[in-house]
Amino acid sequence: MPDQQPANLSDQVLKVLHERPDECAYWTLIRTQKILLAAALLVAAVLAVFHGYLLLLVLNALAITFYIVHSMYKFWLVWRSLEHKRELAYTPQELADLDEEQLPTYTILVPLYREAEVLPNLVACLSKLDYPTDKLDIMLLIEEDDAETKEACDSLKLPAHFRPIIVPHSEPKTKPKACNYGLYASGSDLLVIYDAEDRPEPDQLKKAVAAFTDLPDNVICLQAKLNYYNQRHNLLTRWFTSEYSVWFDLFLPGLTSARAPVPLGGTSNHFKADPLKELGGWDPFNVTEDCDLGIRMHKHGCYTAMIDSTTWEEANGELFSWLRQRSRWVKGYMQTYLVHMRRPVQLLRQLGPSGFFAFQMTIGGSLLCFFLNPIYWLMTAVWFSIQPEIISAIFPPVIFALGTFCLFIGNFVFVYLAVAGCANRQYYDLIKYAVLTPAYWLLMSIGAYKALVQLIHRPHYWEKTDHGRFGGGVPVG
Amino acid sequence: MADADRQHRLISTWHRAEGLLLFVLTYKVVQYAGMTALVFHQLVNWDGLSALAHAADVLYREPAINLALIGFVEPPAPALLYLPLVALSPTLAQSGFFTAYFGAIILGLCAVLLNTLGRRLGLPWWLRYPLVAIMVLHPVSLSYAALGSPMTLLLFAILGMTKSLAAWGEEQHLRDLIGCSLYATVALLTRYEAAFVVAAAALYIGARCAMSKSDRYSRVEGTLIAFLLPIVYFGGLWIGANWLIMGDPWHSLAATFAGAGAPTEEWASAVLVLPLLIFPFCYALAYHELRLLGPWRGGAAAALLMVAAIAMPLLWPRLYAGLGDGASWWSPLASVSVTVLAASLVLAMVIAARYLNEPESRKQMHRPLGGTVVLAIAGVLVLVAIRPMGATLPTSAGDALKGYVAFAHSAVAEQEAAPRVAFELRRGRQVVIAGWPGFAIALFSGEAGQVTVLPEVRPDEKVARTLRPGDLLVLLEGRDEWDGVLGDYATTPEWTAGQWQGLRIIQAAEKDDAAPGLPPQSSRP
Repeated sequence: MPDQQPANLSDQVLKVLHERPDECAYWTLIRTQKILLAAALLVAAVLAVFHGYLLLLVLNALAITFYIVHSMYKFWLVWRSLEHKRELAYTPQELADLDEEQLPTYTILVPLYREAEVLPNLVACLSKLDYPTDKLDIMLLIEEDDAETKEACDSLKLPAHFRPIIVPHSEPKTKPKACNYGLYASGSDLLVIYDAEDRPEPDQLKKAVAAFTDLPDNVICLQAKLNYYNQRHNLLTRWFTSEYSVWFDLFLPGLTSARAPVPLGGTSNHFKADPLKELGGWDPFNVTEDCDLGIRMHKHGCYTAMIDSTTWEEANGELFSWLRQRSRWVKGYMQTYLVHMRRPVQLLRQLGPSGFFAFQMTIGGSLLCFFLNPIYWLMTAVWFSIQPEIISAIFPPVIFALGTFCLFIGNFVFVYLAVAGCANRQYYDLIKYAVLTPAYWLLMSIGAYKALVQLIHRPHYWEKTDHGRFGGGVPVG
Repeated sequence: MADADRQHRLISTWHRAEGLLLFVLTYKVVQYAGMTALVFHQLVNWDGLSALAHAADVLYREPAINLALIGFVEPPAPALLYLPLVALSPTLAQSGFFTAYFGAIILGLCAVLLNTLGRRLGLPWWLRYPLVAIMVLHPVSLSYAALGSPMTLLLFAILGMTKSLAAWGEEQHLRDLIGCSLYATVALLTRYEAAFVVAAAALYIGARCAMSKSDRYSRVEGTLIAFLLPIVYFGGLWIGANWLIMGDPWHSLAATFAGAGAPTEEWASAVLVLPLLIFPFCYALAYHELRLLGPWRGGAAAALLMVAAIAMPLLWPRLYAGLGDGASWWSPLASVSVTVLAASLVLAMVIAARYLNEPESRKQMHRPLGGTVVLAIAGVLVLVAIRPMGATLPTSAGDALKGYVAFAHSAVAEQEAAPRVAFELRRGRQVVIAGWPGFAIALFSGEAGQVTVLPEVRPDEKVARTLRPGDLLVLLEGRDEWDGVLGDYATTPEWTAGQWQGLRIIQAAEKDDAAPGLPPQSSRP
């Protein structure tokens, strides 16, 4: 086992906590938030006792209004992506014209934890990257207590530009902490993160270099598209694929074109290393550190763009494992929302009105949808079954008309977006499954409620996703 | 970089200003024509007026909002779009003025849509503006728009659909497929005849996908699902709403076509099927054939299509105006004329753009004008097929705009009947009007929400049972049939207005005592 250990980095991996505590998820709620939350609950309880009908009516009106605004906003963003290609695209010829001598040095961070099975495949995929190896530093970030991955690493004959790094055991034991370890150990100009099961397109690094050259200096991050190579494994992976196809191919490009804060996807984020170090890297206490970093960058005047290159990942095709993964994501979104909403006025100033609105819709809105959907599905079912008076009462004519619009138009918009995502990726055989996507929304909501419970009890617990169970271990053909 | 940005912003501003200017100009022209037609010549379009009346009913009908009236006797899109206007001012709505506003807004949007398409295709202004002017000032579009006919909305939907379909055929971009699908949904919810156009578009899309080299089956399947999903979904919602509210999933369809004068088997014959099925195919074919054009033939093709755009839609209503009465023969033909007008203009733009913008090398690879020839032959075939069915020519060229053809009808009688109806309502009596133009009477009475209008003249037993002595029944014809279902009651004539008869409900025993004959037409309540 090579012992190329960097210098003591324990302080730097927690830089966000030490230097930007206001932006760190170490505390889920700060004192002001706790007081406000308690006050809101108290007012709601009092209203529920004395004016229960009024409370339900107002909450219902607000929820319906939110649904309409949220649906329209998402549709607008997707339509922007459909109107014009918003990602930066480069032809093979343009990439070939890049002078290899002038290419910047590049670090690839690959956090690994119990990934022995997929390691050979990972090495094979990363070896195929079209980038001069003398400018490439691939760091395999292995946790100190992960013997199996260390052994697998030892058994492989790694090329010279692969560098195993042992991340010392400490709390929190999360992926962002490992990434920070790699970030501050790196001396490269550019840096990217890949997961253990990732298969990036070989020209992705060169595309990122070309894009960084063309973009203004304040664009410090490029997000590549993510999609799945095992999309047809089962119904769950098909739905998951349609979700990713909308998110990375249509929604995020729309967000970047609107100059809105972008919740980064977990991998294939290409960074300019120095500005990232200045920002403190990733928040080791946030379980969706990528999403949080995208927002934090935007707050500090650093922006994200999309590149037209895909990294192929492994879709989680096992229901309970999928639920664990989803609940971690939702928990991280909740952490991100609560962290950045600690000072809403300041956030409004930093993001600007449109950015602030986008943040509310993208992060807060997505969360709210997960939680509200089951309530409204239940109400609809009860209404069609027994038509109780209370439901009629909280839907006076105007609210009823808006609610009907949400039920029939809003839901359809989201189903059609899933169809559009598949059609855009030319996954024509998945389109019929995308039509059934409301069942997938139910799973998302289950994951969200699980996340809510976990946010209270184990806010920093990282529910690891197993890789290599659905073809990830198969060598690249 | 900054200069390029500034220039881009300037161009965008100019484009927006150009669009706004076109919209305002079109709006003013249509509004002027519409108000003149309504105020000075009492011309109305029954469909437009009934859609407006339905919208007024939804918002102001007492005692409860009756969503069933959003066009349950006709497709819902026009009435739904009238809703915001009606909400603005019930008074203006019940004057019928909003028909002109509605048509002006929609035709204004058509003008902007067509101009935007031309600009995106790279056509110079001297080619774009005349094409837009042809569309706005064409008797078909102007007349329909001025009178607020749902046909204007169909024109808009077909324009958008053809534009999107042509673009999809070129690049197969998802955006165009979705656009086409959404426009097709609007078309279908505006006129049911658009189902044939939608089917033709689906076949065209399926055929294009089937030509792909790999993955044919899933490509056809997936693309068709993406195209048809909104259409099927909103169509299904409409059927479901009919079922839920009216107890019959096909209520609206049956109500729309029940009044048609021609027998059912003839509806299924050439009049409906041939033009509606053939023409979209013709355009698809023409588009295909004319993709690569010779230097002069391209111009000729565009010119031919222009002639078609101007002449053919005008020919149909003029040639076949005498085929039937009311909502019968000319009804589907009117949809055809609108389809031809919209599709021709879009295709003329697409082809003209090719001719102007294609590089010389590609221009040499021209194909013969097969598409145009097929189009022309199909047009002749349609003419030949329909002509023996009893088409007659109207007496003069100006008739098309004077209310003797599909565009418009004189509403003098309805305006005369309206105050009598209002008088009855103010006295707390129930008024039932049987006959499609009855919506106009209800609207002009200023009490649209209080009147029951039946689209058909034949008696409705359920409604008949609600009538009591003193109530008023207003009929175009069929008094005896109504007397037959009134049970203990009967009717006695009180007044006439044009073909309308105002009949008072009385006890059957009193019928013999009632004064025979009708009061003079000039008598006022």
